[in-house]
Amino acid sequence: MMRFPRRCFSVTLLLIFASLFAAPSTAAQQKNSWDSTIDALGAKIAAGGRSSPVHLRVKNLSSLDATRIADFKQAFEANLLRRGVKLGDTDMTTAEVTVSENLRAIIFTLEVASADSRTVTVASLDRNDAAPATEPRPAVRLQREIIWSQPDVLLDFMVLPATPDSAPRLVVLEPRRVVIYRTVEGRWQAQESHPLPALPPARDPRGTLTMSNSDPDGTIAVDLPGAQCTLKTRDKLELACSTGRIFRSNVETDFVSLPFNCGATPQALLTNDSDWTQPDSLRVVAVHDHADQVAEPMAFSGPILALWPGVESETARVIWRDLTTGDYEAGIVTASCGP
Amino acid sequence: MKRGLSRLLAGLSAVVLVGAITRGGSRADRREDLKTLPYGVGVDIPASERPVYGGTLRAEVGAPVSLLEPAAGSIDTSEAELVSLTYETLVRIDGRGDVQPLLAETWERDATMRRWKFHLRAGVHFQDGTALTPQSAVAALINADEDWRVTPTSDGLQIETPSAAPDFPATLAERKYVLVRRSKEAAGGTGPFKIESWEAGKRAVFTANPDYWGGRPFLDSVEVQLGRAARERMIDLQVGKADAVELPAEMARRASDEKVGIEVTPPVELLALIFPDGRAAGAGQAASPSRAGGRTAESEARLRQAISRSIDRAAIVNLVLQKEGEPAGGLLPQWISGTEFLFSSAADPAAARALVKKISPAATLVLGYDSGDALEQAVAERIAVNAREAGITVTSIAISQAPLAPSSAARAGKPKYDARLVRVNLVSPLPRPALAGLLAELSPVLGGAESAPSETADAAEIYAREKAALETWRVVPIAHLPRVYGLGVRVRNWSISPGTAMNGLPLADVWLKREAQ
Repeated sequence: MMRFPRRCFSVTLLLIFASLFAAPSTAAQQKNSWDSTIDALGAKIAAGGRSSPVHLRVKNLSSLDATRIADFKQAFEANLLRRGVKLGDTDMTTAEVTVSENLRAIIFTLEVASADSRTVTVASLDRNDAAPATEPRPAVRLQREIIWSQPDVLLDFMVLPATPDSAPRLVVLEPRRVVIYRTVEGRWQAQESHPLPALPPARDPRGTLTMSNSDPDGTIAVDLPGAQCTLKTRDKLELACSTGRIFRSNVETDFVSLPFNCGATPQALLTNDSDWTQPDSLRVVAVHDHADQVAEPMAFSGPILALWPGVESETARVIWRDLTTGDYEAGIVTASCGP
Repeated sequence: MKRGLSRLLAGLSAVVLVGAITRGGSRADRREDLKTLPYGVGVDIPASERPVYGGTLRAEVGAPVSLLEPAAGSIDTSEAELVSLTYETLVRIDGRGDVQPLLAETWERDATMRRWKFHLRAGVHFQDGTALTPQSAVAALINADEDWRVTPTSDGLQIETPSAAPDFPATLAERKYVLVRRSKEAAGGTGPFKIESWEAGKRAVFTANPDYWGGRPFLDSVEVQLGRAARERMIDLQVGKADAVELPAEMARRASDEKVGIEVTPPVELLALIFPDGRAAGAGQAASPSRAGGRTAESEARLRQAISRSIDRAAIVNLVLQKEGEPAGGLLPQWISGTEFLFSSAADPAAARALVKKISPAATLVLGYDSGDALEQAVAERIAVNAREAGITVTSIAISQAPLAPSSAARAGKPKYDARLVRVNLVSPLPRPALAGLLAELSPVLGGAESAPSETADAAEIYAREKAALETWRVVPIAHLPRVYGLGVRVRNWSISPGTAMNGLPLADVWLKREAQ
């Protein structure tokens, strides 16, 4: 079985463009910075050479927050003072900066109005360059608990907690069966095996277990390409299946969102960018318009084959194949805010 | 077989923000899966709900589209919406206004920014089974712009522009640059749906393209009723005979009041009053002396300005459009240009009256509106009321739809109006291509006052070009209109973010909720 290498188009494009930008660029491509934009607008006001005070107003029509706008106003006032422009509340000359935006840019429009004239200057700044220079980086810690390991293909697993009538159980989904394990003297031991419908062999077998939180019968949905089954876990274990041409109806991805935030931005758990011949890792990324890694990656002994959100909100079920033993491993990864 | 990180992040950010994902997944071959993630932000998907394959989505649109002609420069809104089902461009604009791969996986340019190479995605086929090749891509684009030089490369095509075009990929994302394979039998694209049947002006059926490179759509088919009246569309939606319908903006509030699910895009259409250049078009003073009344060019300009100042755009938006839309002072809406606030849209009856006093002989005007457009009629009547208060006599008349650039035969005849209302689609969420598209569309009216923004235009230049075009008062913006869709209860994952509002119907990612067993 081979896993195909990924292609990172954005990175590719970045490299292509980076290499090409070595060539002389035109004025249109010279990027403005936050400071240079302030400086250019300040120069426009100072160019008037007026001696009377200027009444400065800043209006925000953009999505920049009030703190950032206050940053702008403070820096702009300082720039004007450095240029010898007097600021005051007089209405003789007013300079109004309107901060607005379009999809790509933050736009600063300076309107300077006096009794006999009105000039408009428009400057734009890439959105990324308008963001504060530094954002506090959240700290996230990953912990792993290995639950099960076997030489045969393992598609998914689920741990059923102990109930008044039953010890904890482990449900393991394989391509052709569902196996139930119970703890005996602290070790999982196979107790029942339920065959799945015969499906065409697949080079890339897939399947998932999903527990319905609201189902009083503790029913687990077993989804396979070409079959859907339900496994009742309360009282007697029963597996019922239906087959047919079923398109895959599950959203399957190699990332899992983490419903907690160690910081201001949403976070997600992401696998590495390698094929099935390489050891893998899990990363936590904060998602803006790009992904920022916010924690040390967790290394695995082989490729991660499946990544599912766990029962607990901050956990994920991970299945990987140990490259040294060839075994399939199942574990739970827990993320927590911390140093 | 992975999509790029950019694709992943697009889906990822949407999912994280939505907070709706309930499942992770296996690592192998999830190319299609990533496609299925909702791209929009704020999509409300219950956590327990997952995509479902199958079913026919029943859609209804207002225009009696007779033929899907994707490469036409100016096409009807409904037609434009349908084009995206079947045809695709080399690149697309995403929700943040960035250019993303579509039929071209990567691209690059030389140091002069005039030569752009696009590397085609492998494994893409037109719907007749023919592979997308450098030759077929060149054939599709070779006549797209007479100034371009389009040549094949080993894995794609090169386009050479006459001047430096640093943002050229954004231009190629416009719908008029879809890749069409034309044969004697039909025209076909590479998109997620195939045209199964087409009854001109009545009904069209699209079926899922099972071999679509981005993964088979969830829907089996899309059945579109064409030319349905707005009222019929609304009723069909309410009684469950339709799943998705186009609604006029002015019906959005009523639909919402009646508990009909609606989705409203940001403003993507300009409603404007235009004053064709009589002398240039041969229809002004000489051809219609009674209406122009022998006014000088200066008086005519004052009349246009007076009309513009008299119009209460806020009232038009509040009353006629039922608050769906925005009063327009500029050609581009604020969300696209970021500078529309600099163009006043406020009524100034006193200034209008002052201008009218300087017009000689008396200020009169015949205003045309599309006879099949109830919104235009209502707006024309409001304009007439506003103008009358400023001392201008406006007579509104219904006219048949006519292109902005009349044919020579049409120019020979007497025009029936001095001014008319028009609706112009915006072609891009980005200011430069959007303004270029508008100015090209309005050029017959502007008569040379317009100057297309340069390829390197920044916000300051966009503002300057827009200002220059408006200073003649030949085009008077009235309102910017959104697109409104009524959605039935079965429709899931309908997602249009501002940046993708011009990308057409998002049906490749839509699924229908399975009926209860």
